[in-house]
Amino acid sequence: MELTIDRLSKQFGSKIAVDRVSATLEPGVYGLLGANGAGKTTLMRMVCDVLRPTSGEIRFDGRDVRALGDGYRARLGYLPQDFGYYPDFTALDFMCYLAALKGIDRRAARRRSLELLETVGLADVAGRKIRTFSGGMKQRLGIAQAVLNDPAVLVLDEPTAGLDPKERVRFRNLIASFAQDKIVILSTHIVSDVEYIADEILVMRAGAFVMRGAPTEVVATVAGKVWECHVDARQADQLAAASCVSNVHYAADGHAVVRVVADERPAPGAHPLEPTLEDLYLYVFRNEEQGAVLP
Amino acid sequence: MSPTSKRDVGRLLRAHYRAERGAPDAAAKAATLKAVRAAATERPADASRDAVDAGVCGHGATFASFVAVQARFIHPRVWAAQLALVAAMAAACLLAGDAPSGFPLASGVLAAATVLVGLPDLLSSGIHRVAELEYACRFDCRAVALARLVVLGCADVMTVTAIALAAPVMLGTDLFASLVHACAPYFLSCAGALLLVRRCAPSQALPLACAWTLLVAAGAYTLFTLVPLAYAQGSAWAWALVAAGSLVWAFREARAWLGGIAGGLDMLAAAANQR
Repeated sequence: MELTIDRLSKQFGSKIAVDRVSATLEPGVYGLLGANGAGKTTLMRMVCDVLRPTSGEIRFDGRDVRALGDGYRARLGYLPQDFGYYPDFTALDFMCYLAALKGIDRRAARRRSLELLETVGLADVAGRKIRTFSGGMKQRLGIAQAVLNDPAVLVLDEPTAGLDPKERVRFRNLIASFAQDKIVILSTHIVSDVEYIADEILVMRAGAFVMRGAPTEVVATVAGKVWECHVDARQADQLAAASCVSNVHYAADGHAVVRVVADERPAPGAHPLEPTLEDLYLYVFRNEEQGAVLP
Repeated sequence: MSPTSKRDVGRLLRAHYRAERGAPDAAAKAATLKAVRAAATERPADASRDAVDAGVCGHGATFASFVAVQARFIHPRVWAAQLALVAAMAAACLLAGDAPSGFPLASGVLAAATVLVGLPDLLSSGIHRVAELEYACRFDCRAVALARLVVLGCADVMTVTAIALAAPVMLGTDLFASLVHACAPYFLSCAGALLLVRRCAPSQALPLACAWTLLVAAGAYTLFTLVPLAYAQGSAWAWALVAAGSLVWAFREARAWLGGIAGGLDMLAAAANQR
């Protein structure tokens, strides 16, 4: 099974949202990292046939997905970043409705819906209207509908938004168990969501892929660019203003331990640290977030 | 935590998630395919769980079965409202006694109002922002819109027919004239509403369609009041021509609307943002 993205572009008026992106995806988990406006959502929408490309092609097992039509979409699962719902629907109604759209037999749809609601921890509220759900509950419902038809290609746009840490761990386990011989593409700002489950990281910036590889490979590109500095509070503020700081920890005596991502040693006495995916993200997008400090 | 042990934790976590996947099970896949074939060729009353589970693949459903399923998801208020319109016409006939002259107007106004009853459900994908999810499904947003058009259209045909038949059945008025007096305003209302749906945002389309339907009803009333001959027996063929022309217009608007939806989510949004 292979999903080929071939010089895909999408233009809205004069703005190029996706710029001649190409990639070949085989079964595995792909983490799509990028800042807001990088083009991740537009790319995912084109993969899911929600948007028509301005140019380029997407092929599934060698065939154009436009030609495959409903045959391709029958093998898709999609969770948008912000999805709507019919206000009178209960969770079970919503699942059964989408099951019908996915062409699932009515009996199988009901049973599968109940199973998935159980899996995402919504079995007790299956009969409640979605409009009474919290943000996290809606997100879990969204994840459940995305896997209703056991898709070969699963596309998740910011799937862990609104989930608490326990739910995010449950989600990672769900994806990991689901991902055998499937193509899973998930976009997120929370790098820890993909750091351990992704086989490959795709870093997107200004509509194009700027980096691609296994997590250890892409992280290795910022080896020697992550530093730890022990400075006083005033120097910590100066560093925060001038450099890309990923973390500041203030000790009781007023000194600060600052983690900085920079090409050169940012302060005398700074020593290099092992980089993480978060450091890579900050390094690639440092111009958009110069001097930003992560909360 | 030291950098070394952090690395070890990372390795352990990656190994854990990789182990969760397991290896693809060819035997299980073959069993599922066998069950799918069995379910496709025969459906015994006590179909096995595996065969039913095979329906998860979703390849067997036809568009016809999808349309039938969509009827389940139309809000019950639509059916109730249509029944109420038919009941109103029947009540008017019962109360009219020997004065059937106002029935062509009444049937036309009630038939035009039928369009408004189903319009919220027709537009609900856009109103409630479910379109993005629907586009990515096997039966996509266009299929959903077409299925709703078919279901609501069929229901409208039955409603308008019942409204049009009330006077001929209960009071013995001319059947052909009654039908065309109902159909012309209905198709005019339908065509104008679809034009507005195509050109306006979903939230604007509903009130504008109401306004259009009122305009059609007002036009019918004006005609009835100022030019009573327009509703005379001899003018039935003129009404039939208007009905036929309006039907063609409605069909073209429906086709254009569905074509716009097929263009993707950005085309749907762009059409809604046009003035």
